Amino acid sequence: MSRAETVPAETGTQVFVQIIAADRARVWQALTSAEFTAQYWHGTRVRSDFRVGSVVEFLVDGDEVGCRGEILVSEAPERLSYTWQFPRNPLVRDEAPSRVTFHLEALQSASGETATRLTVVHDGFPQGSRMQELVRPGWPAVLAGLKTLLETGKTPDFSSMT
Amino acid sequence: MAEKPEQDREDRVFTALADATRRAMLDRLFDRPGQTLNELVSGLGMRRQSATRHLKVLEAAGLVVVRWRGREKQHYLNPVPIAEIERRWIDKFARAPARALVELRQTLERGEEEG
Repeated sequence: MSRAETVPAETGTQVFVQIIAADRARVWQALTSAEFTAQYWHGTRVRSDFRVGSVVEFLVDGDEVGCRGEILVSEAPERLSYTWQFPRNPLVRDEAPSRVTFHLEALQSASGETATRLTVVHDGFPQGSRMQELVRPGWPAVLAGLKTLLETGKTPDFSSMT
Repeated sequence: MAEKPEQDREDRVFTALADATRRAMLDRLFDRPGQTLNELVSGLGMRRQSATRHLKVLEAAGLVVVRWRGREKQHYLNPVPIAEIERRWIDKFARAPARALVELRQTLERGEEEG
């Protein structure tokens, strides 16, 4: 297999899917409330009123803004989308925003258990994006932590995540 | 949460990964996300029917996710099940030794290439 024929991705879109044994209302709550995000999202606290056009911020170390964006779509409990920037990281501070979209689908097993299929689509990266490389390992860690928290009530061990 | 569905899911992931062609397909999708069946087929030089069969196994395991863009069916690698395996198996039993061995192998292989 030669690398030469591998042309760059058309959009660089990344897709992540996690199935979580919790209903959509709980998954939505976990995505939009600081008490939850502090427990699974690299210790950050989300802050927004989640109205279209509003700012969304992920606070670290008290009140410092780690990541931030603008709400594009907010349709509880089905779809949430915002732009994505990381002003606290010097590597990507000046990079144009990309876009994150969460799709929440209700699943039901034959035995009547409820679950949610959570799909995260991260797209709209600018040419030569370095953010792309940051989020690639980032989302699986966040989604694994979210699943652990909602299914077991346990806070994941951040020290083992990179 | 019952144990069974989790176990079934894990079985499907390990089964899907236990095949060189399917692993090559994942490598391809990692390098260039969103490929159509035709792109995958021509890139890997395999038959359409065989590629379809392998993709079904990968989709059932959650390792490949399909998205429609107009009439085009695009395939994406979903790394989340692999991250789960890492957490479940590698973190628990062998993280430090495994990393040391991977680094050792990389060092040795680099040495061979240079030498």
